[in-house]
Amino acid sequence: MNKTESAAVLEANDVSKTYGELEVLKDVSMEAERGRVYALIGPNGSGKTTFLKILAGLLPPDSGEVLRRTGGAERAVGYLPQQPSFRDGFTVAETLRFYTRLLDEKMGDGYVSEALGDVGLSDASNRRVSGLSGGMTRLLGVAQSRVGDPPIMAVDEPTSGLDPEMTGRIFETLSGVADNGTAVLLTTHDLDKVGRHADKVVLIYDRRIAGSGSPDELVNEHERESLASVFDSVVRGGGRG
Amino acid sequence: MSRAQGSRTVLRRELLTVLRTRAYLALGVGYAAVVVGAAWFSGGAESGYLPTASSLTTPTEILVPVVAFALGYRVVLTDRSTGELDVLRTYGLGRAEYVLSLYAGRLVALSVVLVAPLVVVGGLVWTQSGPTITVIAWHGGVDSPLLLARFGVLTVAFGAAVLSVAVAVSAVSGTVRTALALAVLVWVAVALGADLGVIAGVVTESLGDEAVVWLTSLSPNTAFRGLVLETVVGVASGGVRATSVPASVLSLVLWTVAPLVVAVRKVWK
Repeated sequence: MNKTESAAVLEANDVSKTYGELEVLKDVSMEAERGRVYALIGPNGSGKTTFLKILAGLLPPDSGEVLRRTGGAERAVGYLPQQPSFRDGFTVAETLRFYTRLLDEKMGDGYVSEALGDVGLSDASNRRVSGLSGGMTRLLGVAQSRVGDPPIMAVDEPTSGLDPEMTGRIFETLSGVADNGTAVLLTTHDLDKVGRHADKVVLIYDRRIAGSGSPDELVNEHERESLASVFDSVVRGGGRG
Repeated sequence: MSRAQGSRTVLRRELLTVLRTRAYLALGVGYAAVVVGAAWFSGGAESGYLPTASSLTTPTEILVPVVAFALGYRVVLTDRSTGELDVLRTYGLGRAEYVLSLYAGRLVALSVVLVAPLVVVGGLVWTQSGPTITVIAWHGGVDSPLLLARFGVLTVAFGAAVLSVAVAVSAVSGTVRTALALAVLVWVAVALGADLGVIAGVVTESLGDEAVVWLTSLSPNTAFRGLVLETVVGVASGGVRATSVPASVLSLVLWTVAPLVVAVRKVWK
């Protein structure tokens, strides 16, 4: 499916979440369409990961609702945690085969080879996961999160701690996933890459959405020269931009 | 995904994880060395199956909890800290499927670790003891490999109960340090607490003989010990009642089931 055939696959309405006395999100709403990349940005502790987990169905909101229109998808949401780590003692191919077997025991080695090829890990398929670099581990995580072709993919800070080259590779891979018809939601601090790869940016600050739109729309709306500058102005200006 | 499919896949991974983890292999080899060594140096191997089982009761009671806890105390915790639990949920895996499959996989591995040395010991007794066994004579029956097999079954049942507690500890703990501390605390409280309670009751004469027989079923350790005395060594004990067999069996079943229920409820919400 290309980007012009997009349809809202995810809808969050007035989502709120509190941890003990700390209110993390208050009446936050957003929609996501297939074939697009959504970047959730905000300062540390702003509730990005919490919101992502709520969108993925891994955390229940205290109030509000999240609708996922995933039809008869075998796996509704793919998820990549912030620091993915796989069982030691297994090869890359064995690790991915484990996840495919959770969905379909008959999903063969062909699927595993193809999935590893899609993220550029064909040559590493027989390597132990304990011997992978941080970037390669993330790529294996991306391959894992794609198993079953879920219409929604939630990716938590996929490039933290990675070098610029690997960061670019991860973003390009995720853009490719979106081009194949998946709604990709990611949290990140890499605003440069967000500016290049995200179709829509959701800036979370002070429990709410302080701004949303395409990178260009946000830059123009705030009359700034870059997304980083928009981020600074919103955060330093207490959410007013 | 069918439930059976998900369960088989998780179980298989747990087994392979144990097989491919050197620390677990070292633990298994160490356990086997102690058990075979204890049987050999105690002279049990030359005396027969029953003396061997008798000489192995105390080492087993001490070491099985160590092995079972080592296999289970961080298994859920690790999956939680790496985000694996969240990932597995997106595949439609249920809480019960995950916990029970994980437990089953570890239990199969634990059973192999516990039974393999007993098979070796059984072989030693068979080759060493010869046709005339003179050390122990009793009227209840003849020495038989079945007694050692029965001891093996009880050892696995004991290990299953401890492993279940270990998995529950892993499911409720937030960090490895907490899990380790909780594991030690729980076991000291359960094992020593039950023994000391019974001893105190006997010394102060506040417990009657019947009460002592029932109270020795309370903890997995005392239930295991009582069952060994009653159903393995007891054939030579001349009818002295060590424990209530049904109560001890029920105790081991409850110590296996109840922690798993806790683990299923706590693994994720």
